[in-house]
Amino acid sequence: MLDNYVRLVPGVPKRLHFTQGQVVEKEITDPALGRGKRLRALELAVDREDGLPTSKSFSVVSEKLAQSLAPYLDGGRLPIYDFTITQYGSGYTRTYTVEARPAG
Amino acid sequence: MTQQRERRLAGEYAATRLGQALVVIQGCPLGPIPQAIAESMPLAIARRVSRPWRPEADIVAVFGDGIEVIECKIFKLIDGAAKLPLYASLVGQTPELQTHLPRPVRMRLVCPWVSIAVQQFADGASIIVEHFAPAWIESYVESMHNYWTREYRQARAERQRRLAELGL
Repeated sequence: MLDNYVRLVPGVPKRLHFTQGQVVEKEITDPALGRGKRLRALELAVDREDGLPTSKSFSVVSEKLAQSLAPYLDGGRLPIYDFTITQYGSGYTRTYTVEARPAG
Repeated sequence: MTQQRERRLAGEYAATRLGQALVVIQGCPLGPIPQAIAESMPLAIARRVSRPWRPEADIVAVFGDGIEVIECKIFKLIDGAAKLPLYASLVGQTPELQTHLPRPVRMRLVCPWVSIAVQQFADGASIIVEHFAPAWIESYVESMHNYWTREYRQARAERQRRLAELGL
């Protein structure tokens, strides 16, 4: 409803441009246990989504996806690229394709 | 978050060593979409449905003068080297790469070290072997080498005993 966060839809490529990012601690409600728990997430600021200006966050809790994106935080590389992220599958079997090309 | 060491190696290699590439794709599916799937649904859905049956390269990087298929390995170097000729043969049939063809295909094995056997195989198969060892690799490899030593087994048993005492 508020649409403050970018959401991935399985099988649908999402093109994003990030301005900055950091690893943060978040508290979420565990959907299986129904209780709160703390986890670490890679939080990225998005200023373009599918080519359109926006001001959203992209929160990554998947280790697989975080390992693909986090190295771009070093050396100010993150804003240099447009990333196209495609999620396949759901739950623990999720995989991701991460495509990086110079931002145009 | 669980540990994804080779994914981390691939991510760091992509971010730090492929700055000249036109496109860098981590986790790139390769090969054609199975015909039965391709004929029964639109292409976008067929790509999604067929994903579990298609091999996946750690990285595919498109350069002006070629396409590189890259495998990043820490321990299983033979697996990485053996996969590359197959992966390279699939590039021409990969729908996701069609806009970048035709280009010569190169193969690259990225690893913190290499054995003589793997290097000889790579030389014969025209695979480029590149040494890439971020700082964290050394402590990880050391911990894996020590994993089954008496000291590590005892420390692990003690840690598990304490966790059990705490009901965790």
